Amino acid sequence: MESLYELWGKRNPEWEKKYQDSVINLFTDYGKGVNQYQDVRGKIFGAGYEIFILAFFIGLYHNQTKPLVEDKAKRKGFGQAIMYWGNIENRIGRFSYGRIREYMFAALIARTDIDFIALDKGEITPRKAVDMLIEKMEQYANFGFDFMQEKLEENPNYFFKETAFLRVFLDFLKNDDEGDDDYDDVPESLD
Amino acid sequence: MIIKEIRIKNFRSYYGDSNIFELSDGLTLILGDNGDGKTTFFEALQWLFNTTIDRGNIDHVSEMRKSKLEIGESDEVLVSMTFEHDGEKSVEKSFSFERTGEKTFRVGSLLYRGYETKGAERESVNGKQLIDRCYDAFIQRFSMFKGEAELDVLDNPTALKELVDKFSDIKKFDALVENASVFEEKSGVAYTKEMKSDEKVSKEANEIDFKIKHLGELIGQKKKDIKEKQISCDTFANRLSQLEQNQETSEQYQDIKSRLKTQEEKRIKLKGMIGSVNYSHSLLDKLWVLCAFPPILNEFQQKCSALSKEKRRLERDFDKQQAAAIAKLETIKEIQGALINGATELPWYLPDQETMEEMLRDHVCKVCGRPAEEGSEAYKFMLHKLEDYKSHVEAKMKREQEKKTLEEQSLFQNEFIEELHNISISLSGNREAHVSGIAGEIADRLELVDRLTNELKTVEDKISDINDEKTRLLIQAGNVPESLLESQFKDIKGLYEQKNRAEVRLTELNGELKVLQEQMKDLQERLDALNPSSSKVKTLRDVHRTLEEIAKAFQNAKNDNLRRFLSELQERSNNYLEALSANDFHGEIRLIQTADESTEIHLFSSNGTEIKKPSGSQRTVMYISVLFAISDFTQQKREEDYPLIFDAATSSFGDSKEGDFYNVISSLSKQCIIVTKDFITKGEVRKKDIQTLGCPVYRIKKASGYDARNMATIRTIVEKLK
Repeated sequence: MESLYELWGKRNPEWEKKYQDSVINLFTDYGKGVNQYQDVRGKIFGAGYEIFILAFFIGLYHNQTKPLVEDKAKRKGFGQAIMYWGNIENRIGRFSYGRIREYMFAALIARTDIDFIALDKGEITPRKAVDMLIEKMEQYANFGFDFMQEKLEENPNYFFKETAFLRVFLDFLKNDDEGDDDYDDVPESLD
Repeated sequence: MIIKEIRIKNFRSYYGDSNIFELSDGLTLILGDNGDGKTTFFEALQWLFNTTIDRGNIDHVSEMRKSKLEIGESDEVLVSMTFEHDGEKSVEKSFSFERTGEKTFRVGSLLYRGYETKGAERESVNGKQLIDRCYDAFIQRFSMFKGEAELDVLDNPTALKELVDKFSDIKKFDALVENASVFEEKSGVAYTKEMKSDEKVSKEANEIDFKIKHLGELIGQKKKDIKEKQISCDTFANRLSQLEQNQETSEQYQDIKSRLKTQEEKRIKLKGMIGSVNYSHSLLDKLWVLCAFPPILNEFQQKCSALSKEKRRLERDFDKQQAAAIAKLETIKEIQGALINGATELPWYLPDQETMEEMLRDHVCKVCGRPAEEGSEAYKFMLHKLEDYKSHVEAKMKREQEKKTLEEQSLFQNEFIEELHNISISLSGNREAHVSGIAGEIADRLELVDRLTNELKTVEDKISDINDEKTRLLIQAGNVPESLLESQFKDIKGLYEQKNRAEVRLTELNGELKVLQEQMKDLQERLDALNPSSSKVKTLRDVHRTLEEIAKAFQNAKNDNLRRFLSELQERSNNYLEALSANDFHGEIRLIQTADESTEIHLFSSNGTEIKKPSGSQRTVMYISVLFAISDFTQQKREEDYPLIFDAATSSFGDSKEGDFYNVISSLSKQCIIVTKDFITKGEVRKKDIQTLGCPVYRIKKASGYDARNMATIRTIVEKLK
């Protein structure tokens, strides 16, 4: 029998197409193939899922989700199942970081309201449980994309400072004591 | 010659005939910014004075004038000058041009016209000759200067010699010296000839004369050698002194270079250390994105642990229920009947089924041995006992079946919670410690980068300081190219050796010469000591001695004259230098004669140190001082003064120097025309500074409204400011 982690790993989470131009293409080589010269691309990140991962963590740390549009036509996936994320990195100076998947999975387990007792009793299907994990994952990332887009609207160069992305995450350390005051006004929160 | 007025018509940017400059007999300043026509003014004068050309040049025609001509129309380019030189004179040079087509012009030949005023009459004379007579090319060379660089015409070793020849009386001595030495020589020959033919001393005289001639040749050769050696010594010394000036610089340069290298290496290392971390990539590659993850991991672990616990609790309860049910099945009590006399029955399984069936078949109780006929009590008892046995066996089988079913039942089908719990356990321990350490790792890294960045800044400041130092050094060294400083370090050693060898040889030669000269003197004395019999010889000897003295006297007079001339020139130059430098440090000009009889200008500090690399403005003032002094001599010798015309000669002067400098010049009674962009700031004349000047000032500038790309729209406007 396949484990939940394996089932989750076979999935391909979706995101809203509107972020493709405004965020994903800005920072990643998404959709450009691997045979082009690295330096011609010159983006901060490589594969499209890298920015998805960061968006996910932004949503996660804010503890904020944002449901995706219902219209399936307005969504898109990377065409690369989660189990491959972080495994291969062609860029010089980069390293694989596949372990990050376990942490993402752990976070989803922690934050998704699944009746695991019922799951183990066989009262709900593993498929249903994994659906819920993926939905949570997509919603966290969706919040993260929205967050990045807002920052970019305020200042198009916001993320092009060397430490900008890092600072976003270091801010969560500061907020630990203060609570997420800054983000209380985000309306689309589900939690 | 004093220039009174200059008129420029249609010459390049000077459009039309209204461009008139009235010049004072002292200083006249012509101010203009870049492109306003300063150099054109200067070149118009050069063109006027150049008598070697005969054809007009279409390039000299005002583009504006050309553009306004209709086909068939014509006009002229003309530069004229009115001047005072033995009475008022004027000269003009012109050529005509005619438009013959859209783009074609015909240019006429050059016309020189001269006028001289004699009494009340104004006479037409040959213009070309008038120019050559009053302002020849030689004088032009020492009175018209374009830019600061041209001032160093005096650095040319022959230039000063020419000036000296022209303006001192030395030339006059040349003939006298020559004549005197010819007389001396001839009298000497006659005397020796008579001596040798004198009967009494002829043999001895011949012998001495032979020796004298031989010695004379030797001395001549020696003198020649000495002169050559002296020249090469001077050359080496010159090169060396230039190099020595740079040697210190060169050493400092090497030092700066090595310090620079050390710091540059540090910079590269620091940059490497700082740049080795890409923060954005580290979020993923180094899992830095997990910096805020510990609470979530904790949440996950607690959830997993709770789930595991809950599941185990449920399982345990379930197991308990199962066990109870099984136990219940197992603990069903056999209710045993009692026999007639109250004795306890045997258990249901005794005797066994086989025994009982055999007894029933044989109709006898094989325990007691009594018969048990069919239908008898005993038979019935046994039959009952057998049925009881069978039902017991059946019930037991049923119970076993039930127990087995119960035992096979379980509460949970899946083990996902165990999977999660396992993940949770695998994420604890070392991996948990790693995740908790990420925030610290980032902080450490940032702190390190901060520190390195500060260090880098310090290093970069140092590099910038060192570079400044290098620049200052190169400026002080007088814009010596860096490559020269590199190579000089090596050159200088070789030159020292060469110079030393030359000096040793020179000393030797001088010693040898002295010996030869003493021998010569000795021989002369011996010759003179001979007592010829003929009185004619005695007369010739006296004549020769007299002429010898005269020749010496002329030679000395020539040398004295030259020395006096140079010392006077030097004194006058220094007077001007002092006046022109006002309050600035100026040093002292020395005119130094070299072995090859040319003269060099050097600047010394009053403590005797030569200033080998004077600043741009020092040099300019030095040369101008010498030029003024020379001009004084032209006035003395020719009883005519010449104007000095400078184009942008003071470009190395600072604002503060300008005012002083021009005021000094205007107070000298010397005609000076200076075209300059001094006193102009951002295209505007500084009126306040002009007020302090005591000389006429002209402003030339481009007429407004020109098209910056079209030369035909440019015209210079002449305005007299004061």
